[in-house]
Amino acid sequence: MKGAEALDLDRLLASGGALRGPLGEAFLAELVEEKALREGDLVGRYRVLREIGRGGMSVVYLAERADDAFQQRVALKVLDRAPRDREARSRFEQERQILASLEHPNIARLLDGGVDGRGVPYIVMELVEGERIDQYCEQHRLSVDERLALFQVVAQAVAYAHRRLVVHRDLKPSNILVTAAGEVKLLDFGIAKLLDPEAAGVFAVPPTRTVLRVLTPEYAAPEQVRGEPVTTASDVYQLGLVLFELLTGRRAHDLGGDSLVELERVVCAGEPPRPSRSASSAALRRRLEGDLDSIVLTALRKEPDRRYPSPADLAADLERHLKGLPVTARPDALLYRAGKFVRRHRLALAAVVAVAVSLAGGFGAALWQARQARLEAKKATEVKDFLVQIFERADPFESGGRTVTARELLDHGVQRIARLEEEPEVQAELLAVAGSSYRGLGVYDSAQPLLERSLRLQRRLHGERSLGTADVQSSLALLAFKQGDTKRSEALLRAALSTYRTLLPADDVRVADALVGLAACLMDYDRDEESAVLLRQALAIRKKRSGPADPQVGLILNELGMLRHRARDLDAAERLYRESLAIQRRAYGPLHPEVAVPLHNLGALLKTRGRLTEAEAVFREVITLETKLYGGDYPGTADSWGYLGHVLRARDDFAGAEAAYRRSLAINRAKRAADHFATFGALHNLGKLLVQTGRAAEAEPLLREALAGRNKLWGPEYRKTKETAAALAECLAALGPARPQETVRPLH
Amino acid sequence: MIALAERQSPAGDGRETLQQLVPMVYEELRRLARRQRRRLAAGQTLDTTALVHEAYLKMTGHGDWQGESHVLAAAAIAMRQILVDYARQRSALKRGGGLSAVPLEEHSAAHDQARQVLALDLALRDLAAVEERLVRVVECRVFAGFSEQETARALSTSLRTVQRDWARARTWLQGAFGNGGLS
Repeated sequence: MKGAEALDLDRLLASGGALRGPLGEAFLAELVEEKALREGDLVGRYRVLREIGRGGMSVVYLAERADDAFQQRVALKVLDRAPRDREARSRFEQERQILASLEHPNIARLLDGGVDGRGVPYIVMELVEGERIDQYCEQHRLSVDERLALFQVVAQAVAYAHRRLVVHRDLKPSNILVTAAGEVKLLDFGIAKLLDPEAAGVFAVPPTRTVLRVLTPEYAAPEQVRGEPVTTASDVYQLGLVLFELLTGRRAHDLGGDSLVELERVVCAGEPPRPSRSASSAALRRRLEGDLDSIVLTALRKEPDRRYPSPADLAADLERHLKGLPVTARPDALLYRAGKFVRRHRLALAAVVAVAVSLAGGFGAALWQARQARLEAKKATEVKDFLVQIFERADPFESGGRTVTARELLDHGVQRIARLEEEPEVQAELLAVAGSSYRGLGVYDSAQPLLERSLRLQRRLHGERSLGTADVQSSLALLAFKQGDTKRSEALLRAALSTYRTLLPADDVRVADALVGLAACLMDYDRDEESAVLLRQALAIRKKRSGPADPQVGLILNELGMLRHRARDLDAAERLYRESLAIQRRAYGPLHPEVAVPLHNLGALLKTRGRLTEAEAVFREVITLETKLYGGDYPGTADSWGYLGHVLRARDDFAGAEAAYRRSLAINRAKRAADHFATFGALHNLGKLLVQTGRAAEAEPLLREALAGRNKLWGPEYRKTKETAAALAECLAALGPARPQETVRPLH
Repeated sequence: MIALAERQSPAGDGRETLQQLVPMVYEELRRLARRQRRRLAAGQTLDTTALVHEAYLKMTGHGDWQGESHVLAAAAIAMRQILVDYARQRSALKRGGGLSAVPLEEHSAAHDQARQVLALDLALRDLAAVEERLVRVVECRVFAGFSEQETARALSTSLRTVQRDWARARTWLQGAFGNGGLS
């Protein structure tokens, strides 16, 4: 063919090759799209209910048998890529059958599998409802001995599979669940290999050299990283990593960035970590030193043949250790502390005391009894709301160790909830209460499993489209949003909203609140206009139902203010912030977290407008407020100090700015994780200021630390990393040529 | 992609081994694209140039273009396979056989290029029978988007050889198309 159809190499080259041209753009854009299945989709004989997880190469759905009289719920794992040819497909089939033969009480069963209409392979597994083993250990505050006992069960299950010549290949805490009954279940046995159509059989012998496909870099054995054969010894290594984590609560390897070169450096060349060095307390360190250190280190040896020959040997070693140590009885400090909590607040906060007592004495019992006495539902809801409020605001009551106390009360309460199995209604509600409370305390990892469990219960009890389900969905959505998972938050809110709209009047406050959440998600996607529409709907409902001075109205006005702020409509933004502030002050008094929110935004706005004197006053007020509410070292206050520093620097008050930045840094260091981005921000700010004021020598170590941190978090190409690199370059230039020449480049 | 660098011994054609690289390159692109997507605001499009560049850097495991020339050559072949597969899938869409929710408009630039890529792929299969080396040059230039210098490095040959081979390949390809043998 000629003319338009003629091959035009020049045009293909013009954009820098086909991959960078329009075809490549379309291809890459499609690559990032999620091709998720939706509720109701059929895969083989199974109907998809919803997504429950997502791995490197597959998505897991909750599904049920579509062709059966009885409703069997299963986990449906769908590979996101079709096998390349018929041979690969038949190998998939063959390996699936081998895995289906694994029958062990601690291994989730492979029930079915095949290839769906699109040619995409799937597997169907026993649905395990439980918590990740690491979270379970934390949740139930298991002692070291209890953790070891639990781990031994895991090791024995892996040993069983090895005897059947099946290697797991991807052992990690998220693949090891513990059910409510305390039963260990290993997920995804051999699935890594099954989902890898390029690889040969699942057998440990004869080993085949396979293309590197590390599914979970953090849990890769050295031989996996090097692309060497994966054998039973790789599982022993991964068990070592899991044991490390169960004992210390930390990952064994600190992987910087996602570069595979870095992975190789850490996993293949680095020293294997010693658990006792990662112990969070001196007591734990002493407990881990000696036996347990050497047991873990033996499992983690670089050379596969120097590790324990099998998981059974690892378990046996742990058994010997357990028998060789006397049991240490520990006094339960909880009641003592709860008592102290109650005493301290007897006079000031009688209502809180009452709840605290009911928490310590019977978290679930109070509500349960309320039900028994046939108190109307409204009453129960009130109690629940009250409880949630207590914990959402637990830290403001006093500074210092209060959070710990509230948390302990809650932890204790959760244990009681677990015993309420014969009362699933109450259990579901209390799980949601406890989950929301953990969320309020910022303990997101604990909140998540409780809310998920509550959601499962609500679904089972009342179905998908019930108010109970929708309420928990809303609560989970807030958690997901706080964890940064906007996508999930949005999905949950849309589901909840659709239920609310069916079952509730159109102007119900729950509709309004879901709209506000959804608006926040949209704002995250920069869909500001849609967000504004939702917020205005919510505002109308709230004003009508709760009155114009309701705190929720104040909250919505603040959100609307943010939208105007982003649109650079500063007059409108300021008006909205001030209106919100006035409402919150009237509703809560001057000293309340909800007051700090619009106040903070107002400060940022005033700084943008160059009204620095006013901005300084506002940030000082925010800091005073936060300090009174949370104590001097609340992490959020670090951010406020940082803002104040910016304002002062803009006013050329360098001494004041330095003090503010130093304060921000000190709080970040004390209260946030070592690699929190805010810490590096504070280092960067302080370093830049010092360079600006002629103290480059002091600035250098700060900027170096900031650069290393940002590089690790975001890579060298990210805007902020480059900013720090530039600041460091300026700093070194200021130090002059007396120093050895060096280039500042954010390298991997 | 350490293993990628390790596995590619320069000896032999190695096309069989190279086939195994396709899913890896594919995954790498997907991972990088998703990561970039997460950093972008809604409505912004992916920066394909940066993305592809980053992918090559990851594949060679180095911070520069110098090292691991054979890896780059392998990547070019993988890119050809990936793009041709994709172009084929897009063409199938027109007949309603695909899964994608975003059908390609009949006269979009991507659509035109898909047809070009498929035509080129067919022509290259014929060219392989004539002179394999020319095919490698076209793969590097068109599918991987390498410059002449980068192509020379990838194929461990001189710049002059690349320029000469490229000119010969062009002539041959234009001829094949001019004869109406391809459409």
